[in-house]
Amino acid sequence: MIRFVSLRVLTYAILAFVATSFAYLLAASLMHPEEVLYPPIATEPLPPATAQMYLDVRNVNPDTPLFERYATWLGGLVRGDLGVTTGTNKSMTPVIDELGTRIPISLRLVVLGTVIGTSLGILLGMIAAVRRDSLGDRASTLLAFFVLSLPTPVIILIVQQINQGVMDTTGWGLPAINPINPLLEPGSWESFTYQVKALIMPTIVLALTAAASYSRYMKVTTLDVLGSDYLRTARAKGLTRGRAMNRHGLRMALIPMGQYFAFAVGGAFSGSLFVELMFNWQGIGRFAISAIQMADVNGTAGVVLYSAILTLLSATFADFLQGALDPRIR
Amino acid sequence: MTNPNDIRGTGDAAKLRETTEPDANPVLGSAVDDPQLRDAELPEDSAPARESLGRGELLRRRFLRSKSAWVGMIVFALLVVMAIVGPMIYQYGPFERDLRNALTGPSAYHWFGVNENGLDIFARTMQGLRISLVIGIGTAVLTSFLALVVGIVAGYISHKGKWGAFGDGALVNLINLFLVIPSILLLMLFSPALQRASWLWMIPLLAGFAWMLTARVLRAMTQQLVRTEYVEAARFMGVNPIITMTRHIIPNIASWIIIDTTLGVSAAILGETGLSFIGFGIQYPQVSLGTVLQGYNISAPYTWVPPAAVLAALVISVNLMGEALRDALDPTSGSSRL
Repeated sequence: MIRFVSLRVLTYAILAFVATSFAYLLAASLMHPEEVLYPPIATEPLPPATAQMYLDVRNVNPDTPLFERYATWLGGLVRGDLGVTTGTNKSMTPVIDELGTRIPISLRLVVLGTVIGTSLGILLGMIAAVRRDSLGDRASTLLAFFVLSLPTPVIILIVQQINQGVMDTTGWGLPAINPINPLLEPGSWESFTYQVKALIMPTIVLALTAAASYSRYMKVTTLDVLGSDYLRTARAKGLTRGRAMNRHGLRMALIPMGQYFAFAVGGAFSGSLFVELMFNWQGIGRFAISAIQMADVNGTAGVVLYSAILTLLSATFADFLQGALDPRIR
Repeated sequence: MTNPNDIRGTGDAAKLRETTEPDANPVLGSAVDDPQLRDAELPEDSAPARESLGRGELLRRRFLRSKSAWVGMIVFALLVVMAIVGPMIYQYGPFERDLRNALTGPSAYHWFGVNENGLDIFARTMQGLRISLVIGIGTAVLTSFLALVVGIVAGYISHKGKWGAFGDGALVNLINLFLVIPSILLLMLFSPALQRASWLWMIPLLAGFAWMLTARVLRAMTQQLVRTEYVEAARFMGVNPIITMTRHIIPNIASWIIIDTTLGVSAAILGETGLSFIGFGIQYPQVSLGTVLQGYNISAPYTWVPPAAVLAALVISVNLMGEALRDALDPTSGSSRL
């Protein structure tokens, strides 16, 4: 078990490292942060020495070979330094600080959305498979079909519009934008309840998309398990349907789900991109969009590193789960 | 016919009789002639002989029996007609501004209303539908082609010695690598550079990040097929590997590829819409459904409901067709009567 998990973690770490390096090289070769020094962005010419200094200190000088820049960046990465923001963002904020203030905002969204979505999806999928062709099965299958046929922005718009409708008729609704209210005193009870209320709609959106795909996978695997020999044996030795399902069926049906879990976190990351944009959350997703728009090489690499670590952690967690569920691995 | 595993009918025996000279092969010839070994003749007025159906004919019947397939096909055809005819007959273009009527609801002049920048929503939706359709279908076909090539090659070479296994392992790790980074980030990196050249670059770009999962499945399927006796036989007969792949492997996985291409259309449309929505997809001289949605205004639902409804109708119709196709091909589903 330990050996199995540590081997997998090592593979994931290598994959994450290769992916981040790949992203850095791509960003550094595709983006042109030096354009900020020339017209039309810059209004007056800059002395060449100053321009060189400006680019060197940000490690984006196009005169330096690409792999030398990569080596500098890698050296920083080893020391825990991800460089400073570049491109049209001239403030030179260290990327690690930028990520540090944004990760708490994004992470609660991604974690809550994934956990609620996957558990809801597993539950719905199982019920749909056990009570096949019942009203609940048809309703949940139809709902999942619709949710999967809509892009995330449209789901967000539907949720926001419903909230707006409720607010127009009853006068009470959830906050539509911003995760925190700057007018309220930080740390106070009002501020906390505002944060919780602001979290509801984005979580609904992420949970809905995750639950839709999960309930479909879960329905298929549960149907497979229901037709299996060992479940029939369990029934034959005298267990009731529910007990046989709980003792033997559920565990086997959950094993393939573990592998999907790693992808679900990646999906939640992409979903949070839209959520943060449309609910005006200053999280990682927003930072990713603005970093790429502003030709911020270091910022982009930082975001990719964050998402790779997120996938790595969730894949490791999925492996642990699989090890706990599947006696053949232990 | 005492052996239950022998599924040959009397027709086979007759054929055997025709091709067997009794003089040349007395044992077989006499066995065929022996009246005791013949099946009892069927009475003349028993059940009418069932015509045997070809596989394609069978699938076509099963597909057309499904109600959702019809709904999907009709809606899809309607949308295609709308996308072709809509921009031709409508009086406004997607970039013509009517600022006097900005942010007004549907009317006789502006069928879906006008957004806050004075742009007509119907004109933009129809133009966006054109682009989304082209991108969806193009991407799905290209994705399936890429997945087919990579999947079959990886599956076929994985048994061919050390180098084959090495190549297969490299391909699998490449697929895993693509799954580690959210593909939307890489799409956002590439897209602006390519959009400057042509909006059609969107097709290879989206396809380049969508083939991995399909390739994985096709690889697993090919690995199973390579071990079958007829593929082995073809190999021992010295048939060229490429001919083996096209003759013996692709026909066996073709049904799966067709389903995947159909469902890939909707996946590509959703991906393109999302990318265009955050501003990294289709850009100014062209409009896509994602760009139209970008002009949403929560206090005026008509700014986003029409494009969202058209998009939903498009994706749902494609998904309905894909699922009906899958049901038709799946022998365990309810529609597997003749």
